[in-house]
Amino acid sequence: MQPFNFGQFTADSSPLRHVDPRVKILTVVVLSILIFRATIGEIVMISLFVGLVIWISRVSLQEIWGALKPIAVFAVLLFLLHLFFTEGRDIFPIPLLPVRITYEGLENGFLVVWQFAALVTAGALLTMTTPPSALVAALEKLLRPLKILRIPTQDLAVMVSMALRFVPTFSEEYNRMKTARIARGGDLNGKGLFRKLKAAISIVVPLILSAFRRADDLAAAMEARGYARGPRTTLSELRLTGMDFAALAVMVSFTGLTVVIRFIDF
Amino acid sequence: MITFKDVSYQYGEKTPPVLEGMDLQIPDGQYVALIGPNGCGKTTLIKHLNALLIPSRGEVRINGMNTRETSCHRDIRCHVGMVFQNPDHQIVGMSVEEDVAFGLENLAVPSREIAPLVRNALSRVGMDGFEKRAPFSLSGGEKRLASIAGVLIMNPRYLALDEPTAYLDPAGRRRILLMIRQLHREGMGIIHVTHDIGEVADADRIIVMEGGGIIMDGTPAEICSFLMSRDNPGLEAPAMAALMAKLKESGWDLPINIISLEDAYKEIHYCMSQLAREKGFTKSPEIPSPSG
Repeated sequence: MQPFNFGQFTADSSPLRHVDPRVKILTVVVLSILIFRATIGEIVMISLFVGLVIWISRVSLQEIWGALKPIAVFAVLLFLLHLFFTEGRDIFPIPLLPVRITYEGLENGFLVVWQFAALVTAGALLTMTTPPSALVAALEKLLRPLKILRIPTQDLAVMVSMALRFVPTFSEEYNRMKTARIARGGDLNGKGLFRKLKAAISIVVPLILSAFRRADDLAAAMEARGYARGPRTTLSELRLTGMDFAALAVMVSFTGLTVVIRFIDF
Repeated sequence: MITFKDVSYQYGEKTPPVLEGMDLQIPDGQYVALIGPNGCGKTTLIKHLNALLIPSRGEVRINGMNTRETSCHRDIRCHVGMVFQNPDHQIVGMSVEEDVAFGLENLAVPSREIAPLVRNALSRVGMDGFEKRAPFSLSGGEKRLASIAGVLIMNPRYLALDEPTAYLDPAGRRRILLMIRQLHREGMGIIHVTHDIGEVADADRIIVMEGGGIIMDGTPAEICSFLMSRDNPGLEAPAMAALMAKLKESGWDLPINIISLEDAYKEIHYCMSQLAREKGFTKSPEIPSPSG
């Protein structure tokens, strides 16, 4: 069975691998805000920036396409929704149907799909160049101020880490169950919606039951190794280096530039 | 010292007790094997050693600490390390080093001190260089060794292992058993749960469990004679002992309380030398030793 890498962390040799995960998470959050508020001009600029980051990260375009492919159907639907249901000047009228194709719809459709793709690309870059454990450590640090509100941030981080840890377990378990079904003559790729649904349920129910059992065992194993509420430390200590400050400076400059351009537009 | 005093345990109020009226003492540094058929309470017993289960009646004390006192649980868990039957069910980290470090993280050991201790623990189990590997990509034996390293890093005085050789091929099995012997030689107390008496021939003491209680407690030789003397549902007499019994039936003068291949070899070799002398042969027969 193939080893499973969550979040498709594949770019171990990427220069971005060594940037502090907190900086990368912050950058993705800021980019997301910029992307959602972007006009056509701004989204072009953001895309150029993301393109530059892809080039620096040495992640192949094939891998980026691999991350975008699963959302293609959703993106097409999003585009069509905007295309057909936006008020504005008609490109051409559609007789007998309650929908219109407008210039504004076309523009909105393009913009929204572009925004969506840029957002997914930024997220994929984060997960491809950051090991899951580093993501969890960063999350724990970033959430730390919430401790003032008595939110157990360390426990939250452990929960996220355990959720990530369960992904390969589920994947393995699913494959095992699937093979067992096929070995006993089960048809998992049958034609027809009802058959497909039946086949899926026959795997999903035992998978969930097994997940509960596994969770129980894991909880016992964690307790046995001294896990309890209270102060914890982590193996990897995150420390900002010169490279991280440089990355932060680039991010701040780019954000500033985008904001300035928006004001000039006004 | 680990002490069980009149310990009973039942998983639910309406279910029959899995352990009943158990009294047991395990001194520091002793290698104790627990054998018995499925459902006899072996796993339930060792879960009491780590305060994962608290007795329904009676008390368990680990180095004087009562497992009922929750304030002692962290110390108890540092004192007795627990390795579960299936290593896949106890992996908590996304890399071997993260998994091994988990115990120390829980003890709030400063980050900079953890990495060298992780390397040391992995080195103790012969897994140098495995730090960055994903635990799920390891072989069964390697996963088991990594889980032992994850426990050893907490520096326990006892190691409780629940069927540590289950699902392993002969090479993996041998590696784990050698590791256990090595740890015992270093002075660590071992509580080894198994179905196969053959793999605990080196134990100081073997405890046979049945129906939630102890039916025999003795040295490997004593336990071997005991198992040969009765019908044991769910528990087989050691293969070597069965072989010796067959040879004895055929007229060979051999003891039947033999568990290990090495001991069987010594006895048969001695017996054949005697026979050769009686028949007037000048040279003893050559038999290749089990180690080749």
